[in-house]
Amino acid sequence: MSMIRTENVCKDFGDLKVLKNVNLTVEQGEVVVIIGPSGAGKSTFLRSLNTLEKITSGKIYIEDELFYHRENDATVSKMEKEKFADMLLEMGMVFQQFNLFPHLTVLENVMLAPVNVRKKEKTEAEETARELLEKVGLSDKADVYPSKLSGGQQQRVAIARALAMEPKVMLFDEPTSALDPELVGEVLNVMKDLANQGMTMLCVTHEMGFAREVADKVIFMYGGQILEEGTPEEIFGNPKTPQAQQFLRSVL
Amino acid sequence: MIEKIIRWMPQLLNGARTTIIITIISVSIGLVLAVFLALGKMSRHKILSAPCSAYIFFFRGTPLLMQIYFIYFGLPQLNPALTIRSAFVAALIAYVLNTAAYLAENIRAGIQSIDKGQFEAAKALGLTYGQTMRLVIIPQTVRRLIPPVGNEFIMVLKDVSLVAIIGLTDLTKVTRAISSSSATALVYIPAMILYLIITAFFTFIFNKLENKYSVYQ
Amino acid sequence: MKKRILSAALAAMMTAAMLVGCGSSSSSSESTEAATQTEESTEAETSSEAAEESSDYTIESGVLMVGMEIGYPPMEYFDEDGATPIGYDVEVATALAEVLGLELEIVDTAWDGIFAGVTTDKYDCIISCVSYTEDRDNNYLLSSPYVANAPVIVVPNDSEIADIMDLEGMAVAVQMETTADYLIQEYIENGLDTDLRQYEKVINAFDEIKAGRVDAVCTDSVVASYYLGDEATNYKTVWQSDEKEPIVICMKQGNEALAEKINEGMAELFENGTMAELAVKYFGTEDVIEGLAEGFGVE
Repeated sequence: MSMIRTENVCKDFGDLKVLKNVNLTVEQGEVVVIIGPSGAGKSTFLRSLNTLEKITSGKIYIEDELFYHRENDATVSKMEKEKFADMLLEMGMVFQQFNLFPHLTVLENVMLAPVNVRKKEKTEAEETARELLEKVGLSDKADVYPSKLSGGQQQRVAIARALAMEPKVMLFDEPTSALDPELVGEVLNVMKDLANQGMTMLCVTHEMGFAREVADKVIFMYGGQILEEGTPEEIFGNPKTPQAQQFLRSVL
Repeated sequence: MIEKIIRWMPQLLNGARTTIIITIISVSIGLVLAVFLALGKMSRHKILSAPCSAYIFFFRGTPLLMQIYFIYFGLPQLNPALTIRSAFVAALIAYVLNTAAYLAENIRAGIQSIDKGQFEAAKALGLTYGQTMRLVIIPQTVRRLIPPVGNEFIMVLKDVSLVAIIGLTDLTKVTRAISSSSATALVYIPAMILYLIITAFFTFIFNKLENKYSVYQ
Repeated sequence: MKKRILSAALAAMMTAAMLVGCGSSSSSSESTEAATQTEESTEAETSSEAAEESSDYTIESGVLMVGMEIGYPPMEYFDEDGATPIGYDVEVATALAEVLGLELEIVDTAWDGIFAGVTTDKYDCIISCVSYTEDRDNNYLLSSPYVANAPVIVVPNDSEIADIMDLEGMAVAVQMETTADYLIQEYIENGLDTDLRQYEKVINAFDEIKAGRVDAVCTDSVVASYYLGDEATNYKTVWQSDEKEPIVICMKQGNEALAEKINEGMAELFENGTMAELAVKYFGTEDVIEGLAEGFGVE
């Protein structure tokens, strides 16, 4: 059973075709990394999975069930309401700009959704939250406000916050692009740990080292399409298309 | 001179009390109404956004003086059933409705100034629209709203002087009455000082609030 | 052309006077103003073709400026167009200006500043249903009365109020700072427990009794008769004060020159029947001016 499968996902912005027939499968436990130049549609694709972006047409399957199907910018069919909402919860997202809630402490940030969405008891949610903060190495920052943390620390809190909802797949949208170089490592380490624990992950990133080390599959996107797909060795060692070759030349 | 001022003080303070009470009640209730108006105006559903926009347009587009006058004197002439018995209640209604319109725009601006990422993170975590507003967005706008709300408060404090036209006695009315009956304009001095003291007091409070809410900035 | 130069000069001088006079005592700014006006009237005198008489009794030469609170029917109020003043006082003022050979300029002024206006030369006199009171006699120069008046109480037809003391425990509406207002306040000070509501315009007081928010209105008899003219089926006058408050013209204290001219003018209006005519037109009877002609020196 695949975790996520997309069929012919297209997105148009007026005349501009941002996504062209993107077909991708992410297996359970797989770590898939999407690379490519900016404007390739990587983030747009990622965000269309949890409906932060609306696709023009295409089908998206979650755990082999049709999540939603759109044609001509209209929804043809989708899971019934409650199931749809539940499925969305199975996808956790980590944003480039962290998007922590500034008016809540670190602990409150992590507890907010489990208490209000999963209706967990406060004590239970707090326990889980503290465990997660321990995992990402920020136990001592539980009662601190996000503004007092470094970028790397904030992003680690964001990861903990997403994990608190016990998702089945984690979506990472350029999680380290907004970080100072010396802070990138601490975030990548958390992500590596997560991968090693068997979490299904779909990451858009420019961190090639991470891709090489951790990814099971690397996707190269260009101009809204998937041009290359393969293992890190295949993509980095032997890029087939000129676009991929040029891109890798410029980043490596 | 001083004995005159001491003689005038009780009346002036009475007037000041009316002024302060009307201001506090109006801005408080107006603020609550304003939240709903703001959310309504931003709604995607025309059936909500149209009336809210119209309301805001009307109450910001007509003079407060006319609104007070119409609510108290005009309504009974339209339909006797619309007579508001108490001038105090009529004044509160007018000021609440008016303040709500202005504050709604401030709130809307405050909400729209919140980074989109906040909405997205909330959505990704599964929060409903209502939860997002209640738990994430509105608390953040509170900090941003303290200056405009404080401003509106100080303005209403002065605008309350309009209640004289429906026969209520606020600080300004008392001042004018004393000035007229004692044939001296000097009473305006203690009256203006009173206004300054009241304004300074509430400005101080709003500053404290602002500081309290910047704890996490 | 000359008027524009005058206005510009006046504006410039006023601005200078304000900037200079700011902070200095009121008397100095008043004298600056008076000096400005004397300058202006002298200029006007030398260049004007019309006025042969000297302008020593009106502020602006050739023009009788009259302060009125327009909004007090039937004495002075706006016609349906909302802009033309009409009413008893308006017609008296018009006739008076005519016999004095002056142009009439009505200065609409809020009631609670109207007396200050005559003292500071905003206008020559006030013809605005000004009731005679000893207080006012002490502070201003009042003419002889030109129409009779007294405070009355108006109540709905089915009201049980028959006397001012029946206002105990009731609500009564007045126009603020009128003699009716002071009268009720006096009774309150002497122990009458009544809820006094004060409004800016007399019509608001009548709105209140119509809306049922007050039980009575206390106002001048001349005003009451006007309202009862329209609403006789719904309201009645039940009490009249023994203290008559005849209506006078109010001028700045010490302005004897103007007072003399106005007395002459009013005498003529009584003599030539104008006052009688107006009395009948507005009040349906000559009773309201009975015996008042003598005050102006008419037999």
